[in-house]
Amino acid sequence: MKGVPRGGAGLARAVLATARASALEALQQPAAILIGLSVCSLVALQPLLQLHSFGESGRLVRDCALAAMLLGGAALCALCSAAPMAAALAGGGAATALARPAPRAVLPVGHWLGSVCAAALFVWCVAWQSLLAGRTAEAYVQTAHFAGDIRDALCGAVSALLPAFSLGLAAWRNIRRGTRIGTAFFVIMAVLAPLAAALLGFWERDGSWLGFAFWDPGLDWRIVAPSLAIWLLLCAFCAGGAAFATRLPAAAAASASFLPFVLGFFADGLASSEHLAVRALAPLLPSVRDFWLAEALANGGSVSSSALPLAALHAAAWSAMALAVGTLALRRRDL
Amino acid sequence: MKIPLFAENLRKTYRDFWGRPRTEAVRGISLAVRPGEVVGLLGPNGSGKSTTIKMVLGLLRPDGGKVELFGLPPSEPAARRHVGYLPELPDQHRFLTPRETLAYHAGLMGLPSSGADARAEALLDRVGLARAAFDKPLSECSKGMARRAGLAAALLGDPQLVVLDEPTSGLDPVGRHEVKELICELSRDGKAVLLSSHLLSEVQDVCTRVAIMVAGLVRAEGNLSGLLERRDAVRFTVSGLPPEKEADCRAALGVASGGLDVAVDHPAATLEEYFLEVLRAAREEGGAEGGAAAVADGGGAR
Repeated sequence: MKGVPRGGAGLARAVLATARASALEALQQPAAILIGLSVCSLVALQPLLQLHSFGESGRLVRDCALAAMLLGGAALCALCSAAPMAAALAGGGAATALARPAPRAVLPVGHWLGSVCAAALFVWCVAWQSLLAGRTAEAYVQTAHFAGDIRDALCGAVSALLPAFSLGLAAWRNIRRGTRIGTAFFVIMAVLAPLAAALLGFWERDGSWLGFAFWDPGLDWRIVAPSLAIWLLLCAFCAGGAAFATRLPAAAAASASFLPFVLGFFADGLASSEHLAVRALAPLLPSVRDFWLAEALANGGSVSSSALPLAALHAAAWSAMALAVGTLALRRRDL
Repeated sequence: MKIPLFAENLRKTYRDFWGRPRTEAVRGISLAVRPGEVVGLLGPNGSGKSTTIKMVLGLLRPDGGKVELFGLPPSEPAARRHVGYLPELPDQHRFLTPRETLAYHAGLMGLPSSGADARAEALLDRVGLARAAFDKPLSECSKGMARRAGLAAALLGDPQLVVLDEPTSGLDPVGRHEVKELICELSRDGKAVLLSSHLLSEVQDVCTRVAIMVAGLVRAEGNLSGLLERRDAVRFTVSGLPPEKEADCRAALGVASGGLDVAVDHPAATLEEYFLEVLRAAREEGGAEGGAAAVADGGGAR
């Protein structure tokens, strides 16, 4: 009998195959395109629409962009990850996969990995839009000819048009070549946004040409660390979603995905409780405070060097716990 | 080599949210599929065919009995290494193309990605999928195309046991013929095939053995020729007999046939007739109004 290879490499291939299919499925959902398009557009339009700066150039734009990234990412993970996995379990897609010589753990782990990749692409796109929005936001500029607050209109226009242009290009490729529109949109956006940021470095904030010798992107790179922290929170969120999807129907799984996230807001309160039993509950929740690093950027501050590793550790612990629970739940489930 | 599929006294009761028994789907089924055999699993809707198939594949946990795939329990991934499965409604990733679907299944089987394209193309050609559909998302494929892609996925990795649940569902007559040819080819290659179908003629054409399930029990099982043979009657077949001699022949039972070859055999009913007879008998015995048997007690059916 001809053998089918197994072992560590075989298992890794099974997880990666599931992850790839799940990521494609997540990005291809109409909801994913809608969320990606609206969050990227919202972040780009903020500096053009907001009239307040709250005493610090670009702070409101930055905070709003990160908040949109967090909420949009959570919605993306719930609607496009947990729900399809629950649907696959209910509809027979999972049965087809698990009739293969793959352990049941492959399904939640592969699905989680796929969702994490989809979330990474989303966060990458929104983070670049946030960087461009930060540059667009009204800031005090002093040159030989001018001193005062100005918005970078050119950067604002480019970043506002980018999502629509990316979707248009994705649609064109879909019509001409049959490329998947959702994946194409995110990939085009992910490529064009940094390219636009790099090209805009040849222009001054007031729109004047700097010249090839004076390239300055003028981006506030401090936003990268909070964006990474949000992605880590989304990783934990996806793990929770995958765990719930092993037992709940699609709509319930998508809704339940938000439960640990909402409880995470109370983790700090639980941690400071007088009762030991209540305090013990706190580490079991993904405390949102550990992942929300936007506050550290206020007044020119930066994220401490320990914040990201701690957030990564927290996300890894939560994800591992949620996936272990999900795998155990799936092992006992009839498909 | 170990027998590809062996099931003994399998039982399964579906329960409600509170754990109360609702439907006794399978009530003690024994089944074996050997290399080169095509075993047809027949039965009305709800008779327990899909439940049996899922238990065999380790997707459902039986409440009792024993299943072995190549001598191993199906819950072990190693037992499913040489099994190909085509479900009745393959709810596959609809954004993947048939080629990508095969790559996905190859990944699940741990097959290396080298040569994946050639392997996928060969299989998709074998199941008769048009080349233009190879790179079309399944969501844009017709039901028949998606069925062929699912069949190709089931044949990935050269499985020794192929489990097919309604393999020709959604296929046109040509497609059905091709799939029947493919099943016969698998049998000739020494593969064991377990086939579940509502199309009796299809089963009659390809199966070497059938098991007819009603209300979670195998009511009849055996070789097709044996099952369809009617022992309560004898048929005489006379070749080349002129019509005017027919009455004489009948009267003299072949002696008056004028020395022509007289073949005597047992007249066969069609599989459909036999199936309905088994079903009617089961219903007369009681407890099998539909395909499924209701649980008599236990507070389940509310």
